[in-house]
Amino acid sequence: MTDNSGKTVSRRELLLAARTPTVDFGAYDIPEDQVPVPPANAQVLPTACEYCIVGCGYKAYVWPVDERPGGAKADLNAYRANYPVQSATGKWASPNMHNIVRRNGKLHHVVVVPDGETAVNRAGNHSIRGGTLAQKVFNPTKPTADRLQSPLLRVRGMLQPISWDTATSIAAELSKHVIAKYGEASWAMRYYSYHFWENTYALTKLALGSIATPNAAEHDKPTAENDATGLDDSGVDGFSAAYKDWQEADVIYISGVDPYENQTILFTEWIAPGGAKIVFVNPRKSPTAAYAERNGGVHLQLLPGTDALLNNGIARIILENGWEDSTWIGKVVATAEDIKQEKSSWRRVRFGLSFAEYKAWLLGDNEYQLDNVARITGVPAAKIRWAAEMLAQPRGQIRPKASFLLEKGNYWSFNFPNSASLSALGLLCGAGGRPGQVMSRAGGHQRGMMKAAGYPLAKSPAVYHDFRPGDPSGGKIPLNTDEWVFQGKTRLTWALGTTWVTALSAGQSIRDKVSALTRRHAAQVTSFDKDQAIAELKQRTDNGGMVLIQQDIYQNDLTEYADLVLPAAGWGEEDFARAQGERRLRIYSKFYDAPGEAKPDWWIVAQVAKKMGFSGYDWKDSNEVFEEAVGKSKGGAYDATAVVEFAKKQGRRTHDLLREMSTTGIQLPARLEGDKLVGTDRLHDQTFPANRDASKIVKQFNTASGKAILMKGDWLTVKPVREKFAPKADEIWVINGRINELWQTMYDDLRKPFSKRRYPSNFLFINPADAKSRGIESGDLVSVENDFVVNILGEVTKGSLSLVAYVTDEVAAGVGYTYSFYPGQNSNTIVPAVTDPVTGVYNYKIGKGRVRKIGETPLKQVDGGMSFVPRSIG
Amino acid sequence: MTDQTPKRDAAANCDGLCVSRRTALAISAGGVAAGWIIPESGAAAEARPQPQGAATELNTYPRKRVGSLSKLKDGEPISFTYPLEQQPNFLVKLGAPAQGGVGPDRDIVAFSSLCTHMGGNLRGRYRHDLKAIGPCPFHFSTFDLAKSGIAVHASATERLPQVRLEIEGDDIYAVGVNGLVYGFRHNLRDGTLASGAVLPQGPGGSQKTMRG
Ligand code: SF4
Ligand code: FES
Repeated sequence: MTDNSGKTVSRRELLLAARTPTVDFGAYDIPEDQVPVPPANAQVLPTACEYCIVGCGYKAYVWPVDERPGGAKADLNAYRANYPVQSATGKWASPNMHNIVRRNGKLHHVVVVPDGETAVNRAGNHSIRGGTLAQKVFNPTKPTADRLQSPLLRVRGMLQPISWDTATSIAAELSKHVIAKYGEASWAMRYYSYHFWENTYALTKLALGSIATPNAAEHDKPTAENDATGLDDSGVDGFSAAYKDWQEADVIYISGVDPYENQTILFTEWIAPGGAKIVFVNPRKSPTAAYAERNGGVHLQLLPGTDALLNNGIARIILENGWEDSTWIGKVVATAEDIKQEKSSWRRVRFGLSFAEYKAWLLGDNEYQLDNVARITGVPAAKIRWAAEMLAQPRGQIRPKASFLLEKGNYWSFNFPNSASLSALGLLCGAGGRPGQVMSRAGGHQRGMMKAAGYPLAKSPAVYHDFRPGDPSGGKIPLNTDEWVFQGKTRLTWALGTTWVTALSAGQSIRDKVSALTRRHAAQVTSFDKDQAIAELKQRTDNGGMVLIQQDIYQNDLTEYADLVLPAAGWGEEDFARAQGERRLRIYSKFYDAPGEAKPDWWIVAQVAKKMGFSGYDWKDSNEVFEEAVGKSKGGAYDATAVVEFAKKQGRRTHDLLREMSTTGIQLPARLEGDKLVGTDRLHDQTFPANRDASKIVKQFNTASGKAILMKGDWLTVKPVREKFAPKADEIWVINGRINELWQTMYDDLRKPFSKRRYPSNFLFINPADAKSRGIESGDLVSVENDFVVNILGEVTKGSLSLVAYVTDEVAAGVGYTYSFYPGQNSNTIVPAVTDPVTGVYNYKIGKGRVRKIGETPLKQVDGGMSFVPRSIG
Repeated sequence: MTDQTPKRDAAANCDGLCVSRRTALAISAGGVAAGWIIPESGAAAEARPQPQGAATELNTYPRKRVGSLSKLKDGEPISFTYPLEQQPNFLVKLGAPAQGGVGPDRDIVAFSSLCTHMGGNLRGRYRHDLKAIGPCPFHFSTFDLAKSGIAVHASATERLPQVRLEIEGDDIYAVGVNGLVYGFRHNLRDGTLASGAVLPQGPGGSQKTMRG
């Protein structure tokens, strides 16, 4: 067993350090110089990465600690590798891939290794995030020791352990109370969308099925709205592409995402090897921007929030030159008559255009003239024109195969206009449902949502502000759950796997409000007596307050407001399944025991549902939940009904079948052809053989007519809003996003000293010119203050954030960049809660503030742990 | 195909942060698998053979003279193998103080030449202006040499292993390694003792773990 005896940092110090921002790990830790090798008879369990959308395949090798480890010859170890292992074979495990776990009560070694045999991360490629998965598992001698291990109730201000029976009774009684007294819309659930079908099915069964509350939203949004709405409305599923399409493309338009940083294997294993030229649209000159420019592509370094103008400007150049793919447009683009069939989507009816209308609009509006586009976006006209040529100018008879990739930098700055303008540009260039010619989201989390019921839109009081009588579904939009809280209409919130207050916009304002409704409310629990606790919390809900139930694997920034905390079991602690970015369904095997009394989310939800008197929650294991959940996938992009049918025919559990399909799994939708189980490469596949049977979404676009719709992404709806929230006087834009080495709210990275060492603090990338004029150097402590953080009620509030300066020309002058979800240093503090008027999604990226040096950090010293080397180097 | 050099040169044409279609396909297809990592000393430059006969089983790091203070020039890396002959490293004077740096200016450091992601050879990728090495020809990992080999940006799951150094008069000695060298399960197993490396006599030899 590898021990830590050489280390100079105690577990306690590590734990403290993990939870404190701006801690210097520099020159303290000495990395291991050895790693145990699994013996030839180690158990091997297939899984996939917990983190990003790519869902790389991994295998967990498990063996008891008292067994001899494997040897250096291929027949003596489970990798079948001779040591030293050769390069790029996927057969080497680093010390960070190893840990000690309890399995069936006994201590085991585990090595979680990127799998060289999968179809995703071929040859065992991996990112720093997934590569360190083994450090996420619970080990009481490591920084993961602070996993939640029993239900906690806040009694007299302190969270203290209680029994599952008491915890689920309190949750059920309070739920029944608020629903009976104030209606189901007073009961809110905020839930992750990603953490496996078994869990999301169970929790949406309760929220949207049994209770049917309209006060529900996924973790990253205030409303139950889609993500890349303009793309969805065009009829293109967000994950329609196959990864091999990126390899086959000649040119890829990458909007608002750095795939090297955030979908690493999509980039290093599929995009880069394909050699496509890249048109990189991003305010940052990030590593992929550097790659693009060095490989014959172009970086369009636009100013924040100008995407719709740029997309439409490029489309106009294409139209002016007649470079559009007319054959494709004639074949697949919806006519005015087709659009009229869209009875269930007011947005399609309102914003869908025929090609003639689209062309007339773009050519008729001088806003989209190249000079104006260049002036406002800040991108040189020559580069914009060059991008248009790369995307669409035919070379003789041959058109370039252009594909389009987008993510939150696009649809989280101005949701609808940005994503709609991008999908229309893509259709113009011939993309969508052809090999090497596709449009997709790059993706954030994996596809772990399997909804048990639809959102009860009829119950939402919210209506599109410009609603016209006769609009399909009455112009209704899902209610804003934050607004509902501010208005005092939410009496109970159950938050699962989301930090909420540090994720959604105008964070300071949400934290103040939630604190007033919970911790600072007069009614507090003062006894472990169940009935008394319930009575006291009822006092809260009946006197303008709110009860907060949190369900998660660790305490986080939300916990300080929670009344009841429920410990969840997660990745590796239960058999689960979900799909990734090319709709590949796989098993995530349980390989060790969950800590303490932690339980899978589906189990917790089922206990509460049963105590509330609902039926249909008597599942005996996660496979049973899975098989029931799959019933809801029929006909959709994630249709796995054939997989269950196939397993049943063989008399097997579907989870067991999936385990046999290992890390490659199957791309959904799946279907049975004779006695063969067959997957689907890409959706809306216009090359799909007409004589083969498949569901509509496989062969056609996802619209009533089966055609794709040119959606009007109107820059003029963006312009005034952007101007209102743009930096004034000495302010700069402070946008936010992800970074390669960190994942999401860092719930694991905080406890991976190796990862935390790279960014011991949240940072502000600041241009050398902006830094110089403010006397700032890398490693200085700086403050960002924004006095115009409009909250969801329209009130002007303020936000302040302190960060470590990282001086780099990765950002242009006037633009700063920070990590979105650094615990304790959350960028949402300086971002106003401005919603997209069409979809209600926040403009999460549009932050700004005054930047000033407020001190220095130890990170600046030689022995400081953080690197300030510029990242876009070559 | 046992040499990575042509591929690395192909990548160099695009100034580093790129992989040619051909190279990357070769990586994906496991084409590089046959590419034994080449120690930079040149002596064993053809292919790294499997150690013949019984491999060395060391219990402690050996000591090896790897350079001299008076001859080492700013920004000009020197290659050496250590602790095993199959483990290539480089010694470099960064020209600015560094974690684990030795010498009067605390700026002399040594690191493994093998990327801890999947074993890409970093030879020829030292950036003196940045005191960093990379991007790796395979998947772009880049390491900060002034900060004990942590990632600037990387797919690697370990820092670049740092060779611990000591100065004796004008001589620079390698005395240990922080971190596991790519491809190995243990820095002192499955290879042969590096040429010129000397095992400490009796007790009190070089410590296994030392502050870097
Ligand atoms: S690229 Fe994504 S899925 Fe793959 S290892 Fe990294 S974080 Fe995990
Ligand atoms: S081997 Fe992959 S980045 Fe170096």
